[in-house]
Parts: sequence; C-alpha cells; structure tokens
Amino acid sequence: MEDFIKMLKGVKPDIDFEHETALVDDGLLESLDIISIISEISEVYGVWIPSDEIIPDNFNSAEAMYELVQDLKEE
Amino acid sequence: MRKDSVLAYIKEYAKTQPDTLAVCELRKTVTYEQYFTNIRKMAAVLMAAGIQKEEHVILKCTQNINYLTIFTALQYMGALPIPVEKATMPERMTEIGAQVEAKTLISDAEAEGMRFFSAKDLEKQMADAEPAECELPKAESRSMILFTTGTTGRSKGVVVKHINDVAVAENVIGGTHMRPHNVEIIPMPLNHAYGLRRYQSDMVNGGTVCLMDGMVFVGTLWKLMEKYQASSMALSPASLGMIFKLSGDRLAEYESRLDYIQIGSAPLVEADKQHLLSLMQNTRLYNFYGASEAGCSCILDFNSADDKPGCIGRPTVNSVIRFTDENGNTVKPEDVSEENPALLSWGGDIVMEGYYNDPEMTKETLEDGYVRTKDLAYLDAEGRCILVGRMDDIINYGGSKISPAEVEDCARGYTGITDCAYSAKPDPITGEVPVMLVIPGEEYEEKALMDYLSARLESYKLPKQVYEVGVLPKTFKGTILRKEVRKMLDQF
Repeated sequence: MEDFIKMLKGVKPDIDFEHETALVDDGLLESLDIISIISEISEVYGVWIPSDEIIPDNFNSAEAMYELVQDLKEE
Repeated sequence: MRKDSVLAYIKEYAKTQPDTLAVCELRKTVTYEQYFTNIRKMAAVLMAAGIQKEEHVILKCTQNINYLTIFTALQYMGALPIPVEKATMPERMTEIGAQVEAKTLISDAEAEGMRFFSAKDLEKQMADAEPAECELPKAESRSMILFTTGTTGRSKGVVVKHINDVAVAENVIGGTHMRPHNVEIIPMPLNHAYGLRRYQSDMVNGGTVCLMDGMVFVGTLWKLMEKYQASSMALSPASLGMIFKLSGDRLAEYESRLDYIQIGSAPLVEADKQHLLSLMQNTRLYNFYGASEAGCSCILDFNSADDKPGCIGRPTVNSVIRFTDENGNTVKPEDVSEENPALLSWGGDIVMEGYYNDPEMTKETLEDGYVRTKDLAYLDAEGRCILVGRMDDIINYGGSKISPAEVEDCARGYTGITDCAYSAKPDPITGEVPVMLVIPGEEYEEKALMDYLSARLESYKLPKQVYEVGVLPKTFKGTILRKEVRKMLDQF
C-alpha cells in the first residue's frame, strides 16, 4: 500500500492520499488525474482497469483503488 | 402551441405524465411530478432565505439533480441564475459576481462580496418546505446569464430569455428528430450552453435526462445505458475520445438502441469521426453549429449524404440565416458562393437579449436582431451551409473555450515574467491543449507562475506546459502574432 501511495503521489503530489476518502466527490482528482492514475496502474502493476470498474466509488480513496488493483491481479 | 418557458413544459408534464422520469443520476431519480414539486419547494426555501425576484444569483454547477432543481427554482421565483463551472475559484466567483451585480452565491464555499448559501443545506431544507405558488415566467423575460469567452480578454455574460430556451430546444428536437420519451445521457457541464440546452430540449420534449459528471468515469455511462435504457447521448469530442480510450469499441454494442449521438462544443478529430461512423452505421450522428448567443442554429447528420468538408448542415427550424460583408452590410444569398463567401449572421427567436452590462460588445455583435459571427460561409445548391474559415483565435480545450488574451493579461500580473503568449498544441484526446510561452525575468520560477495563475483562473485555463523563450513575435503595434506563436511551439 505504501508503494501504491507513492505512485499516486507521483501523479498528484499535493494530495493527502493517506487520509482523504472523497478524492472524487470533493473534486480533489480531476479527469486528467484519473487518466494518469489508470495509465500508471497499467504500467506499474500490469493491469488494465475494465471500463465497468471506472466509476467514482473505485477512485474515491487510495484504499479503494488499491483493493481494485488487488482484485484485478487475482483474476 | 409553443409555451413561454421550459418550466411551463415541466409543469405540464407533471400533470400529463407525472410518473415519467424527468432527471436521473445513477442512484437517484425524479419523476416530472416530483421534479416540479421539488422546484416549487426549493423556490419557497430560496424566498424564505431572502432571495428576491429579479435578483442575480451565482450558482456553482454540481452536475446533479439538486443543481438543476435550484437552477429552475430560481427561475420559478423570478430570480436570475448565473451558472458557473464547478472548478471556479472563490476569487473568480467574486469577480463574476461583481461583473453581473450578483449579491448571492449558492455553492459549496463562500466567496467575498456575496452572501452564501450551501447547495447541500438548501436541499435538506427543501424536504420539509411547503411548495411555493409563483407565476410562470413570460417568454420575453430573462432566463439566465451564460458566460462565454470573448476575444477582448474578458468573459461575456450572455443574457438569455425564456423564449430563447424554448426556441433552441425546438431546434434540437426538430434537428435530431427526437422521439417522444427520448432518454438522453448528458455528461456535458450544465453551466454551459451545450449541456444546459440538451437538458432543456429533453424537458420540452417530455423525455428523460441521465446525468454524468464528465466522461472519465466511463463505467457510469454503461450503467446508465443499462439502467435507464438510454436512446441518445450528447457528447463532446473529448468525451468520445475518452470512451474510445477507456472502453475500446464497446459503444458499438448499443448501436441498435441508440437513435442518435450528438457531438458538440468542439470540432471532431477526423480519425475519431471515421471510427465512430464505422461503429455506428445505423445511428444518426449529429453535429450542431451554434453559440451561446444564438443556439443550435445549424445541424448536420454526419452519418448521411450531407457530410462533406466544411459542411455544418442545414439551418434549424427557428434559425434565420443572413450573410454580411466585413462592414456588416447584408449580402444577398444569390451573391454568396464558394468563390465569394460571406460572414454568417443568425436571427430568429434563438437570439440572445445581449451581453450583460456591455452595450459596446452587444452593439458589435447584435445588429437588427441578428448575431454576427466571424465565420465565412456559403450555401451550396442543396441548401447546406459550408464553412470556409473562422476568423478567431480562441483555444478550444476539450470543449472549454479559452481566450488567450484573458490568460495573458492575468499572467502579466506575475512580476517574474516580462511578457508571455498563451497558445495551444495539438492533442489526440482534447483536440488541443493550452500552453504558454514566457520571457522570464530575474526572479522567474515556473511554480510561482503556476501558483499565481491557479489563484486567479479556472483550472482548465491553466497552461499544461510553460516554455521559456527570449522573444515573442509581435506586430509593430505590440499585438501578438498568434500564427507565429504556434509555429514557435513546433520546436518544443
């Protein structure tokens, strides 16, 4: 999870990914940030997020994103 | 018979089709009966809060049912909503408020100079309110002020009348051959003309609107398609590009279900256009030409024989086309041709009242009830309007229009640069992406410049790259040569 947060901070350094739980709902992540995160996840973890999973709930917190990536890796 | 306002249609449908879904989010819906009741309740809340008839109210767009309820409730009680983008910073809210003489802000955060109401708090109060009884607005009364980008370095407030809303809605309904009970997915921002007018057209038609907040969460699109059995969509080229990037060719699975897709707010990249045509062979694919000042004036089905280079389609039902020369003199249609194009003007009930508090710009744009454009065009033998060229420098970033002069004027306030030029580079997703050239001063730091701009401008106007140069191409009068600036960008 630590490495995952480091990766997220590489995309958006000013966000407190350790504690924020409304990254999308509060407008902290913009559209292009989401695209960058999806690309980073693909590059670093080798998983492409299926379009059905690209929904606000899955990106509202670092934890939600991390869980999604773990689920996809297991498939 | 045409009604005076979009509100009048919502009220009518609340009686005649009360259980039809009016507006939907993924997890929340309102029928027409519920929607109109909520509008009346919200109007009561707003009046109890002290908002007056004819008062100007800045309303931050939250792209949801509550936002549309507040927006329409303001109209119902006779106040004037001025919608602003969700990313608008408080300092910019204050500027806009001063420009349109707004005393009230409805948003999620306060801004100096205006009293503040929280949109979420208003929604909570609405639950227990008694519905207000107000007279419906008249056709010639003001509906809203929409902000559009000007070429003079300042955003312009377009004063829209209720008759404009209905006339533009009829343009969209007629132009798309919209079926009764159409269900349309709208991810486009509801503070700009494109998104708002698509919503209004569905309300006038008695159909259903499904809201999305942009297209990056493309999973929401597929869930909305399944849940509400959508029959149409209103997209921008950027959102279409996002669908292709994140979902591949999945759109083709819905070809038989989708009556039409309309694409607007920016030109469609040719590769994406051809790809869409290959996927959706039996779906009508529309491009509207228009402006906040005179909406949806021309329509093209680019999945038809009408599609040819430069063609923007045929004038819509409530649009009156006129050609002028550079001096504003009318040119007879028979004298306009491919060899001799003229400047387009648009008339009819779609034409705005004018620009708020800007008689000079209004006089420059409105003449005898026609909106003048800087587009050169002609009508071909089949009555299709063909654009020859656009005399404009506006940057179109994924549908958001940006005036270079506005950003440059702002940036020159940062003491670390001696001069700057704002321009754009081509981008495969958004069409073009804004960048800036700066002549750095002794104390220049890129981060300091970006911090300075971030505090004063909406985020979409911020340059995505900043390049340092020694000199900027200008005329002897000091005007930036924008074509030369674009050529300079090739080296980066």
